[in-house]
Amino acid sequence: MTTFATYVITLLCLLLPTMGYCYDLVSEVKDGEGALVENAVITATPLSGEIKKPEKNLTAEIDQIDKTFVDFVTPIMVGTTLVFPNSDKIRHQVYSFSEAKKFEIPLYPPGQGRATPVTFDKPGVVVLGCNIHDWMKAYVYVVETPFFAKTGKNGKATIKDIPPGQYKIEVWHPYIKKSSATVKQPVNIGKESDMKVDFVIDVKKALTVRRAPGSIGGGVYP
Amino acid sequence: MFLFVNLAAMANARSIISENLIVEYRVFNTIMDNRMRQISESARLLSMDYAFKQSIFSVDNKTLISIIENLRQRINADFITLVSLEYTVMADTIKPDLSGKQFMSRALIEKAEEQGELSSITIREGGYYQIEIIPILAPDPIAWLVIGFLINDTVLKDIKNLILAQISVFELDSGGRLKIVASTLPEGLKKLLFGKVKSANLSVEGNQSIILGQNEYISLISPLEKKGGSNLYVLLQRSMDDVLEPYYRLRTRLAIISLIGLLISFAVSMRISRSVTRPVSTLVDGVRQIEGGNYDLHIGVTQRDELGELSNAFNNMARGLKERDLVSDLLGKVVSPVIAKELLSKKVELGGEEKEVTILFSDVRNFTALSEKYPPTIILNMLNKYLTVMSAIIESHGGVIDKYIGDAIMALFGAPISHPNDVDRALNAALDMNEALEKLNVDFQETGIPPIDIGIGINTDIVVAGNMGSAHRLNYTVIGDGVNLASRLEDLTKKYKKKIILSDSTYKKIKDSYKIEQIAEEYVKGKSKSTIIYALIGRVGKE
Repeated sequence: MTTFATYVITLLCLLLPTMGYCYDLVSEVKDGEGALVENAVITATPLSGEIKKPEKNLTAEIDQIDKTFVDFVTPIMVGTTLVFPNSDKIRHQVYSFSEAKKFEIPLYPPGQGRATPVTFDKPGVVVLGCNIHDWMKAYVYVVETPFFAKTGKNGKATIKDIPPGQYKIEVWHPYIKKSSATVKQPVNIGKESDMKVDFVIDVKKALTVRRAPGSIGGGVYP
Repeated sequence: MFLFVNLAAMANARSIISENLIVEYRVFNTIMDNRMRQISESARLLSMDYAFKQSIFSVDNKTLISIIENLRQRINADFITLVSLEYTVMADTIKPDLSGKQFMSRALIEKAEEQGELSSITIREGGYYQIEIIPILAPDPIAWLVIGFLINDTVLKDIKNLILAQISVFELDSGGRLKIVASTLPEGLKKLLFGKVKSANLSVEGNQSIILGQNEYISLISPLEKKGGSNLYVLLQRSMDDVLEPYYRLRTRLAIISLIGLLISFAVSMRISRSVTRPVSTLVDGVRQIEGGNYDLHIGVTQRDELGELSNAFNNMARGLKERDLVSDLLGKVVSPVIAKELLSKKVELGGEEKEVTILFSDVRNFTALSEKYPPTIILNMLNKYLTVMSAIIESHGGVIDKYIGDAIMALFGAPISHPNDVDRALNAALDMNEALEKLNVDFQETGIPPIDIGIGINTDIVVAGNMGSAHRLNYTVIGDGVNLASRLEDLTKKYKKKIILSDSTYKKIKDSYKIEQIAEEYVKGKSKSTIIYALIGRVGKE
């Protein structure tokens, strides 16, 4: 899903004609067996280290539908504020014990804006859970660059409107194995041959709580 | 027989034990698995405790230890260790100072990471523990919970209550030394396992026999499942005695029952044989006595069965025999034996039949004068001697003494039993009587008794023979004219000075040859017609 941030970047690109053309970077992610990998996040970080701070407050949302976090993976730029609407008819709780952002939103009722928005101010992986539904899980991938995209079911992600220049392209996935090669650099954005960067990563089985059929209960599922 | 049954029972016990042990091994593993599952269920519940998850990263180490100690008590585990994702101990309930140090087995955690959770067996501080390693999910793993349950005798005893076999869990180190981790065997027997269980025992497939003390144990050694890196084996044993115990009990009972049965049947047969053989032998004895002529016996058999009846019948018979003997004896004395026999053999009733009978009358001459001259005792003595001799002669010729009339004898030939030569018998008897008298006279002379002379009259006639008298007292005798004639003929011996006189009817019926002379034609008293009379002199060929 295209995030709100992407639109912002696109806008930036249009507003800065001095930088000339912006380019789209396409990535395809497969696992070791050639299967397309969904929910992988591709990031492009300028090697120059110059990152323009967004002019507006960035926001994003993670909904809760049928006792599931939607989306499962949400890449955001540092400083983004996440809102947690509740589309279910029951209350939910959201917590994170992750170093990048520890927080807890106590049980809150269904509807929009009933939970305090949370601003993610440190890069890193934040795992979200719900303390009354063991199987509910979501990943917030907080990155420092505004250039990122998430692979869809077709394993493809497109980072739009990247200004030309030298970049470090990285891949991340909630279940990525450490052995995987995750970085490709330098990638010359603007150079025709560099505009498609593919990754092959190793994905491990997730240790998670499986939701039992009928949506009640669960068990640890290797 | 017992030996055969014994062998069969032993073989049967062995095969039953063998089958049972295999089943019991499966049950043992299932129980151990279930125990693990229970452990992991408990562990999982703990791991999902939100407050617990929350506290892992927010409290000081002492509090954390206190928290997991609390968890440990909740599920009754023997230890809990909290391990970080970096394989360091975050907290341990046994050794608090382990915090921050490397967890004892990184491999176990890595395996758990791979599988999601792990059941295994591990050793710590010399103890063997079944452990369960589960992640604490928040909702990704944030740490590992290692929960340990000690394998000890109590655990095995609990299992033994279900599977009945003796359970020992042991380890053989690389040197082949036995280390018993836990066992349900009594201390004494446990010690005996050393030296009996060696590396060689491990390679035995199926059951093996291990003798502990004096008892044979059918044993099954199998590796403990989910034993992790340890070298643990489980030894299941069942004592032959335990299995055979019901059989032994049965055998003892059978022996007792058969002994009792034997005794009872012995007693019963003794009783029966006594109740049968005793009266029977008494009866046999009685029969012998009766055979010997002793009718005075009474058999004291009081049983109420057939033998009792037989004895009663026997006693009655003896009494009857005695009475009959008495009667017969007395009868023989009172009447002639032949008549007595006749009387005894037939129903005694009044009445008679017409028969041709030869009647012999003998009389001592001048007996009246004789009895006046001598004392009665001498006369009686003489008479008895005389009558005894004469009676014997008459009877020897088949004659029957009808009666004694003082010194006279009346004898019958042809009644009650007829012979074809009754007449000749009578004649011979008479001749013999005369001969005997000569000898008798010699005897008499020696005792001072004067010699006597006798006369004999013989007549043959149809007379009535039978029992005469009243219903209560009767005589067997003959009645008829012929009797009187015989008496008259005897009288006539004095007149003609002859010893024996025969009537004409007798003479006509003689078959043998005798010296006979016709005397006269006589008118006998009471007879209207005259009859020719003959004198019998002697036998032909004799003097």
